Amino acid sequence: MKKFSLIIAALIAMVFTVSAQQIKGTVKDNLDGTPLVGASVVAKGTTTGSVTDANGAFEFTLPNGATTLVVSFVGYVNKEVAINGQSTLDVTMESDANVLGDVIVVGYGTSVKTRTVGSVSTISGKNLDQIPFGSLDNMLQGQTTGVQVTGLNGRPGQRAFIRVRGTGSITAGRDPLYVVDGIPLSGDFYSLINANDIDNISVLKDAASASIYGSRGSNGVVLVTTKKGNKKRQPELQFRYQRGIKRITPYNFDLMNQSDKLKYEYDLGFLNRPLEDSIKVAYPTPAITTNAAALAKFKTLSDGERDKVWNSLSNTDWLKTLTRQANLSSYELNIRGGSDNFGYYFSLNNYDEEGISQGSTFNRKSALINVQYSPISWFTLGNMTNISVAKNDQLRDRNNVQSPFRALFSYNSYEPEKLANGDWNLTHQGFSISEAILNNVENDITIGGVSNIYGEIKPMADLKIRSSLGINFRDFQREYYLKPGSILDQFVGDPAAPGSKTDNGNREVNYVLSNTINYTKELNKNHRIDLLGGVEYTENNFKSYSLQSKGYPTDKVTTQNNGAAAVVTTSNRFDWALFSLLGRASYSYLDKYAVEASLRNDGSSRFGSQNRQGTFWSVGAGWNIAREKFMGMSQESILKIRAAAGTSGNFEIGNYPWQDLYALNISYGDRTASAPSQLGNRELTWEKNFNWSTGIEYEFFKSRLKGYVEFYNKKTFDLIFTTPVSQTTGFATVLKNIGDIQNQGVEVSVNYDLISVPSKKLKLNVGLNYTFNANKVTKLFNGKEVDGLGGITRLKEGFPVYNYYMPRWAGTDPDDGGHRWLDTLGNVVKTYSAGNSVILDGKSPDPTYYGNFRTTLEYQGFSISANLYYSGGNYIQNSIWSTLNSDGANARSAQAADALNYWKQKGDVNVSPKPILNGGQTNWTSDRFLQKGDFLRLRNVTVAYEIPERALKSLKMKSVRVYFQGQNIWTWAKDYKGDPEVGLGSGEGGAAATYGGIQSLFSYPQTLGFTGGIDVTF
Amino acid sequence: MKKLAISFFIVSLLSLNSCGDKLELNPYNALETTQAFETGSDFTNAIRGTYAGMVLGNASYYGGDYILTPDVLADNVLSCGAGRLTGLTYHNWIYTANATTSIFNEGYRLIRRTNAILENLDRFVKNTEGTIPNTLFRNTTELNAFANNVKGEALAIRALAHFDMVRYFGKGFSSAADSDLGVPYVTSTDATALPARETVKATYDKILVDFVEAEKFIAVSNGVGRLNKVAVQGLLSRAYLYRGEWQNCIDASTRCLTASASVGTIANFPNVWKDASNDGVLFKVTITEKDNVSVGVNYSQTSTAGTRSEFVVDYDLYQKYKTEDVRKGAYFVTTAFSGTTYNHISKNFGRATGRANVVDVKVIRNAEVLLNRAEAYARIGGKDTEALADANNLRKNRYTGYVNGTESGSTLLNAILLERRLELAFEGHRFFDLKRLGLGVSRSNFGDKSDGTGANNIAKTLDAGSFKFQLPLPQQEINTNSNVKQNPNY
Repeated sequence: MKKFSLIIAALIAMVFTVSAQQIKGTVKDNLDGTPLVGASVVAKGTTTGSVTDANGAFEFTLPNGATTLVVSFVGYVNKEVAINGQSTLDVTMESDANVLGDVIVVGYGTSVKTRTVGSVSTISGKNLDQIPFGSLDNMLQGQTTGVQVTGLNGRPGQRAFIRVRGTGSITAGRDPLYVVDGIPLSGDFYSLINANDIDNISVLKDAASASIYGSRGSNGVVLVTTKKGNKKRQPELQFRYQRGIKRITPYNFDLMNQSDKLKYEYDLGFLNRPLEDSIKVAYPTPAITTNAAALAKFKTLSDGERDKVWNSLSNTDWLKTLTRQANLSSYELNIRGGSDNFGYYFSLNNYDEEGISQGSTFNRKSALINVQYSPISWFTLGNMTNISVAKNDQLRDRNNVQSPFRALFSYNSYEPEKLANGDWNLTHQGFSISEAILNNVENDITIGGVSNIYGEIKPMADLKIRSSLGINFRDFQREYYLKPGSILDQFVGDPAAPGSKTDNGNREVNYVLSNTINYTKELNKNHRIDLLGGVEYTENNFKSYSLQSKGYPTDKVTTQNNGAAAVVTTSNRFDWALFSLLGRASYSYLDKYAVEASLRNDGSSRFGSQNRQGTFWSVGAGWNIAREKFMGMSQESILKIRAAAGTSGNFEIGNYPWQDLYALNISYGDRTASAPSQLGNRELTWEKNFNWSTGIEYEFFKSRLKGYVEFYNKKTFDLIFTTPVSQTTGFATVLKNIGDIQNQGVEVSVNYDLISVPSKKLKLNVGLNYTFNANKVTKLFNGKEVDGLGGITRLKEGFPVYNYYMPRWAGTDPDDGGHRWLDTLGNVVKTYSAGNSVILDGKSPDPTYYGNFRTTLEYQGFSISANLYYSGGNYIQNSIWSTLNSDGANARSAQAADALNYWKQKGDVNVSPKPILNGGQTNWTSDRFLQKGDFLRLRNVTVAYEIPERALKSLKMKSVRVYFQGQNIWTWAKDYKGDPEVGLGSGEGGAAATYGGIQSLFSYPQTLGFTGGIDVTF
Repeated sequence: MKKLAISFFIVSLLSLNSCGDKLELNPYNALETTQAFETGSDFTNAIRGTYAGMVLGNASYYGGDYILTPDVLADNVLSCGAGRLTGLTYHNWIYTANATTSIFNEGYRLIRRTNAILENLDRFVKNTEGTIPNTLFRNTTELNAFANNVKGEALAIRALAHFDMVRYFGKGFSSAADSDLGVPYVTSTDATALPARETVKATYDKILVDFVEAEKFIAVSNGVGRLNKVAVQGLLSRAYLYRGEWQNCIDASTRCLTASASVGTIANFPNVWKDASNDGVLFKVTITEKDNVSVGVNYSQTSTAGTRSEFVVDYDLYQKYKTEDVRKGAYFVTTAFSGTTYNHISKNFGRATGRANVVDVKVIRNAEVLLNRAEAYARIGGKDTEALADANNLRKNRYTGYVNGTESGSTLLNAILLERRLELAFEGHRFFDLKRLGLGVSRSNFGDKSDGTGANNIAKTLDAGSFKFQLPLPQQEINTNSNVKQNPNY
């Protein structure tokens, strides 16, 4: 720390020296020739210089020996001009907006394509514009290689899970670190950011790029850069409006229709209650009293009579009843521009999305302001602040009919939504979801913000010192009201104190204090050195509360003070802190050779004092062969070979994971009590990650053809795992460092302008992304197999993470229609045993390949683009499908039409087993419903028209763009029944709720949508 | 410029200067284990924490399954067609190692809590002796009395948890061969021990040792919500009955009943199930409104639409309750749900006020101890008079206008066993009693409706020797503890 300040002091002291000889001139924009006011003109290697006046003119006395002028202006590319004895120099500068394509945002700075040595994917903000999703992470799907994105589910505003280069951890976090304008975010902020405000996103995929983020870099880093103002530009005002609809994605199977289901039940000898009642009404004498008698009577009827009774039952389309065509709209106003030394961007946005079921909505209002001000040439200060308010009306996330998306697959078509007397029909499930949506309301509001205040000085042209305080906070408040008199309240509430209300929430504040120093030196225009040093302190404070009371006099009052008695009053709190030192050195020669090394040391409060410090490093090199004379290529071409290696860590393991803990948050007889709550492990240490990657980047024919091929190997050591232990210890699990995981892969990207005729404004572009990732557990504690999630997966050396582990289904016995499985030796058995589980080779929940194909055709002002996403190689335990094909176990509930095809007589093959009414078949978990998850999905199709400028002149508009787009409008899945984009199961789904893609389980369905919109710029 | 630049950096560097020390952070809501056993009240909290462990968590031990599963496994109940069809895994005996009772996990969680107390107790006594007199203890007598009670309570809970588990996972004491396996008997908090299963006999022996020790040390009164000397004596009587040691059973029962005689009067009996009376209750697990553990919810839920039962009483058993039997009204209610009338089990409907289905779980009552003794007398030979006296004592407190019975021999024994079934139904005994007696499960052909008609799609019989009488251990235990063997046939 002390040394660091000494160095800075020394560097500052170097800056101030004195000198003599006169020079004058002007500084102008290279395109429109407007004079640039306030540009800094300095003799190179000194601080002597001047700032241009209102006419862009400068004049000052040159120090002795000065040969070069350095001209700089925010928003423009720095320029060096040789003096060559002249006394008047006119300089033109190029706006850096024009060269932005080449600038790549990297950790704690920027770089250019020819100089990067690590794997960094950049995504232009344009690709994220007006995509109708509430959460920006969803929009990254298919945008680049090595980044697998799956929507958690289709709830409006719901986030996605992102895996950068495979699953690198099991128990510790698997999500990348998000950094917005230099501030590492804590937690789930994605739905709070308006994606239209994003200028670009960089994804740091390998050690060389991500190890500068040390203990948080191992899952990759997503750097989000927001839009900034342009100095010296007229204000540009833009208004954007979009509206459209969303619907449930159609599923590729049918449920039994009313008559099929009734016939099915009849054949099974099951008589449902509505039918029993109808028989009693149709045949009043002699009086039928029992279900069995009704069934007996029913069996004596002729086909016609039977149909008549069947037809008297209602025929409800539950899909139509419980889902809706949801509206979506967003409007936005933004303005950007700047004066001589000031730049600003400001936006206001309102995003409204209804859910596809009543009771589900998402609304976000957000504002972003981004300003930079340079009062003097060597000093800049700035601020980016984003504030959002997101409101959600939520449905209960349950794995039963308290969720409409389970009810949809559970209620029978012969059951009406309401009874003849107008009461809600409780159905065979004893619960009316339609009533619950009205009477058990749940909503939440999240207020969030990200703000970064910084100051930056350039004591000399090559040195930049930056100090910033960033903060991100989130305030979440949820209310859940079980209205008095609601059906659920009657089931779970207190009859003497009806109604119950829950208020819970949390507040998280994360602040980051960061000081960096950056030294860039170019020697003879050939050698370039970049040095970076920094100190950073991060602290996170979290507090939560939950209040619940019961006994509400009327459903019109909802605050806790109206409850007759408190039920729950609880709060929680935790902190973590991180102190880091970081440094990076890069050297490049002629944009031909580049080498880079970085180092970071993190101290984390989450580990015991012995293992608190972690040091992470990286090295990398690149060689742009295109610049070699023997290649004879044009200057713009790039053919770069690069290789890098390094380490990073993963600290997402909870806050106090290593301690043996005794909890006091329990009570007995309402008196204080204590009990062990955590089995500690003092040896617990960092989960480390070592990876290397190598690749070739190319860009030929004036960038008409560009892309890359890359190989990577990413290895996680000292894997932290919630290891099952013998339950005789009194615990089920303990955290241990038990093994290693490896992800190896290939990434390919090709982008080609198939047709490019600038004179006719005609362009046809095609692009292909492909990622292959092979995931493997390479070492496990003592070489043992460890049970994975939900009893259906296992971890074993040499197999992918969470390889499925189940008994093998051997089909229906053609002789008697019974179930058959294979035992561990491969013999057919007819009795189910979980002990017959085997590792199902090659079947695991993570996709092994994914990518997208996109094409854009532009002609004059028209454009049409399509984005086709594909993913596969994964398997999904399709529990929705098994519930709908239960072989009679769930015969009382809705079943798939396929379930009709069951064993009826000896010799039947390719059929489901003979149904057993209300049997135990649902416990016979096997690979029968383990389905291949390969799919293709037309993620987005956009048709747009840009009205010609000449038509707008009279309207004083700069541009008008109208467009129409469709999301998820077509899906193809060969083997999978249902929507193959499986994220998390419903909240009560056990394994399915914790690891994405492992099991489908009645989660909020994915949606397809159509929207249209207009962008007007003044 | 110079000044500005320098001050800019002094400010920004100062702000970072002291950050390195801020990494020493501890939780706000928990203690490190070493801090948890320092004072007397720490031990009282830890003891209460063991009882809390019976209830909380996922409520599948005394908070629910204890009073449900042994009845669902046996012939006392019938799955109700109007219910959600829960519990069929047990009811139809289709459990596997991946879908078995979580009592293994819950039991050892409880045992771990008792062992932590026992391991820290001596250190506490030694450390506290030097500080006497202090605010809690005026002299060593008080300290020792406190420590003895803690020890007795911890030992009794440890024995009880092992007892509950061996009833599920092991064969009956009498029918088990010497090599048949019970459960691991855990007496330390060593997390690396990987204990093997004891034999059934050895498990029962160790249970007995702990109960006997506990009786010596435990205090006479800790309140009905905690174990006391009489409750331990009652549990000892149960343990001896399961072992078939009739005289020991008679002695332990007598010690218990001498200190606490009432089996609950006819007037008080219905109130016991509403927690309005503790007449005849030796120990019950307290469940408060705040705990909100709905122990009865696995039997039924009640709304304005009526009571929706998961399980109704088997009609054959229902008919055995006579009109003048106070238990008939206390245990059942016959009402309609969705147009069909059922005999619902109302024993766990909850208190007169408060949340539905929230009620204390009765673990041992005088009536059971009396029945234990009556059975022991009837089996030991030559003690029919005493057996009859005990049986009559219970019956006169259950049947209005009861005239003393005069049975003897096997008629008397059968009458005692019938009374046992009637008295302890839906309290977690039936399956274990059948196993103890070497009987199979044989269910009636009646349906789920109040008149015995209606649906009845369940499995009917489980033969006495079936392996299904011993539930499978969780697969996780087999996978993580190489010393533990699975029960045969799973």
